[in-house]
Amino acid sequence: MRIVDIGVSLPAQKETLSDLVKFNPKWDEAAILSKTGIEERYIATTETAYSLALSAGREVMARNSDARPAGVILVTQSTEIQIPTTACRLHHDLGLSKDAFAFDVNQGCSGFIYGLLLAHSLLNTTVRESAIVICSDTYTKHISKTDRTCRPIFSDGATATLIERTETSGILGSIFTTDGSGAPNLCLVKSTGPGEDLQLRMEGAKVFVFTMSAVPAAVRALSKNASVNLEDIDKFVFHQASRLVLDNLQSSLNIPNDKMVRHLSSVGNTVSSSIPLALSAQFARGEIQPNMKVLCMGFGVGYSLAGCIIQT
Amino acid sequence: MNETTTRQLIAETAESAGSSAEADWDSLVHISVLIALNNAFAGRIADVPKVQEARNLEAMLSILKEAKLI
Repeated sequence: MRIVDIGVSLPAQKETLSDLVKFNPKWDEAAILSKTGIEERYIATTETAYSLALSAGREVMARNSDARPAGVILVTQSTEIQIPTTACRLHHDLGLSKDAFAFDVNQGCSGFIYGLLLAHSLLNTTVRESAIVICSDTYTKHISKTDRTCRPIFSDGATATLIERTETSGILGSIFTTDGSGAPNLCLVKSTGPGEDLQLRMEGAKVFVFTMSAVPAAVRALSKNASVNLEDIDKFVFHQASRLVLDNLQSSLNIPNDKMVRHLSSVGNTVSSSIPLALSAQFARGEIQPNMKVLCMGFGVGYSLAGCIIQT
Repeated sequence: MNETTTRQLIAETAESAGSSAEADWDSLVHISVLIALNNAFAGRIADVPKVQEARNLEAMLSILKEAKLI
């Protein structure tokens, strides 16, 4: 399996940290920036998770018009309509053939890896050569502009990743971990204020302690299962949660700067799209080349963690 | 690390994250303190029970004492 192309769709409206500090004059901009590493994010106002997903999907299909995907997987926790399956609407609007699979995956920060590994597995059961994994989330509609924990971090956006079956590259190993005891620490609860009915509640310290213990352990287990030494990994692409989280992971795992991928300053934490967005930027800059080993790992809401090592 | 040094580290870290040490910390401050302590205590903080519950200086010191780290 190889990643052929990644389409990206971001909302038109940006929100900078400076905008938020103007709205919340007691906030210390420098202090927040030093912890989050995020200067600006995208806010869906006229866009929806569906419209962003469709736009990203159309972009990748326009650039790869010869592709005849075996199906589409939509990873999202932000769909406006539960019934019908949103992936079926995408399938139709993207003009995919009728003999194709289409389904939604309800996962957040680990969702891209779930989608990638599902698509990879399904490709082994069909005669088609490619599949699309679309990630789209619009968390910010559930976050107040006065929420200092969540608002400076989360961002909206979508990516569409086209993968194809190949003989020379693939998934060298994968790992999943789940700890549902952490479910209440990052979830939607009934809003107490104006606006949306539901608001995002994050017990940041609890989620952080989970990442501190679970992610390094999972990286080491994945490395062992795949028989790939951590020193032989060329790029580490973690879920782009925040600078604090990435700094902590880099330090815990002794990852050199040139191998640690960071892509959040200008885009924020886009939940399911954060890993493919980072990969897209790496591909665009030529930082990821054929015959590299790339470790990707997403973690968070659930608690849910999923990772894999890709041989490019 | 002794209690005085730990107290100073927590206070400085909380301030750098935009809060006082005594205030009820939000997640940004709390996480910053956890990272500073994790670095100071050789990566052992994630294993300290209830460390994620301690939202101010005195509560954090009490938990660190209970875990016999200070």
